[in-house]
Amino acid sequence: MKGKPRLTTFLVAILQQTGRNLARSWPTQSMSLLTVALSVLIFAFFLLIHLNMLAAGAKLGDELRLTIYLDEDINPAMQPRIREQIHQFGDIAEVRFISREQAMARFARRLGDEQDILRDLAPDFLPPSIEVVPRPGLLGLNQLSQLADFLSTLPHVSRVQYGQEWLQHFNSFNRLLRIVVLVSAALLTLNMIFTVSRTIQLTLAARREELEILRLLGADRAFVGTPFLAEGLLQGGLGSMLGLGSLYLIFQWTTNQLAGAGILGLFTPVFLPTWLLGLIIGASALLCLFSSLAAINKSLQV
Amino acid sequence: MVKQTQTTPPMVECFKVGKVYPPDVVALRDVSLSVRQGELVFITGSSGAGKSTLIRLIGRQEKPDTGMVLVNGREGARLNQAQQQRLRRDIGVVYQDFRLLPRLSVSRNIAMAMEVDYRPWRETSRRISELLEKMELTGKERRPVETLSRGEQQRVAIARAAANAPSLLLADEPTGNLDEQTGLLILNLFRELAAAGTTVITATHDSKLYRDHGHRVLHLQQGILQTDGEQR
Ligand SMILES: Nc1ncnc2c1ncn2[C@@H]1O[C@H](COP(=O)(O)OP(=O)(O)OP(=O)(O)O)[C@@H](O)[C@H]1O
Ligand SMILES: [Mg+2]
Repeated sequence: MKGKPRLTTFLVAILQQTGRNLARSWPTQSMSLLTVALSVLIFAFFLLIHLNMLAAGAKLGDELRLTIYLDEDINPAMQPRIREQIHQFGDIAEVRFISREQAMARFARRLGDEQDILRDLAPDFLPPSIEVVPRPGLLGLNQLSQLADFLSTLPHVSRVQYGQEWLQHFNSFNRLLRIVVLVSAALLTLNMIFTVSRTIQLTLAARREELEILRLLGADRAFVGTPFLAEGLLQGGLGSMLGLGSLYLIFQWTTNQLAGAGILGLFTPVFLPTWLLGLIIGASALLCLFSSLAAINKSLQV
Repeated sequence: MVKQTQTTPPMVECFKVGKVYPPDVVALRDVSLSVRQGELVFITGSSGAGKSTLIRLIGRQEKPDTGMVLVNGREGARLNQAQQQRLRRDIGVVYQDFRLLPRLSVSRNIAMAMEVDYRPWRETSRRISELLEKMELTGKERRPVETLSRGEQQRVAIARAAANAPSLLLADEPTGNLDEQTGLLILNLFRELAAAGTTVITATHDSKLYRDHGHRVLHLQQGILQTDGEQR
């Protein structure tokens, strides 16, 4: 008489049960959803800044070049050897040798109408130099400083300049941001697990009487447990969508404000890529699903 | 469907069943009985004789301390959780204290029993109106159970236990709050269920329920099965 239920009947029964539970406990559920949304918002906010800083850094890095100031002009016969050594180091777009005269001529060109002031200076006033232009995007900031270290070992080098100080600040700021992103990801995870399992404990307590009757009537795990799992999944999925949606609105608003102020000439801020949005939503949904699974396994002996 | 013949297989079998509640209340002692499929049986005895205890042991809400209780040839301890749940859905129980959800409506309370058994929605609503008609509760479907009288609540509990047309129906004092007339409604429902193959075991003080109807009566006295047979 009692065979397996038809799949549709099974699904309809479980969906109905889920809907009824949601209809009764939505105030608790939506508080938990808002908590999830807020923590996703905070985490994604830091992540967005971090990614944009990295993008800006890459763009600035592309415009970086190293200038090696020398004590003496390099003997033209030596130049091919040095050029080769530099090229061996990595992906270098260009190596230029600038003699004292060339440096002076360039400086004069830059001064334009005011080049009069150069008249009293000796023509060898400026030091000769080598300019190394890394290929765009191929040298990270770390490699750049390694290249600088290497270049300072060449003969007759007095100084290697590539905006170290600025880069170091930029680097340590990015490192800090990365830590902030990781810490907020960890807090987000803890917060989600805590919120979801607490919500489930609350709803379990509120439904204790009903669950006892369901047990007496012979309800199986799927019937009793699935609504709780669905709640976890919804809290994680909808909560993270809500958080990311708000972040997008904030992002739009901010970039509009900044565009008016003309600050964005340097680089265009980008929003989180679609795959990352999907990843965050999926991970939150799964995380909440698993914490509700853990919570019901602990407190439901059905 | 199932004719009551001597060859019908047993639905419930008890072998020398004993139950002792701490510290030393002997609720049942060496009770042996066999109830066939589709049989309608009454358990009687004075208060404290062990009627509810026997019903609980058969319904597997409790385990016997000695002896063995078989339902449909199987012992509870040997079933896994899923099998026990499936068996529960095939046993309707009318609890002495009803165990209804007071805030939920009459139909919701009954529907729960059918939903956990994954009955199609149409069947559920058809069955509910059929049962409410038999229990003379038509028109009270939407009423929260807590607004009903005790007797009406009792009939809701009976309707819920009968909803799945279970193989076994256990009823503990199902007419405790009902007048004679309404008690007959219950008896008629139980007879219909038994005729359709459900084994019905009813614990009751109410001799009017079984007297004059030629039903099998098990009489308990201080936990011991005294008589087993037809009473007139
Ligand atoms: N959970 C329990 N703990 C301790 N003693 C119990 C428990 N349940 C029942 N008893 C005792 O077991 C005996 C049988 O109780 P039971 O409830 O089966 O009687 P009954 O025949 O159903 O009585 P009534 O007609 O009053 O419902 C009684 O002495 C009772 O006090
Ligand atoms: Mg009793």
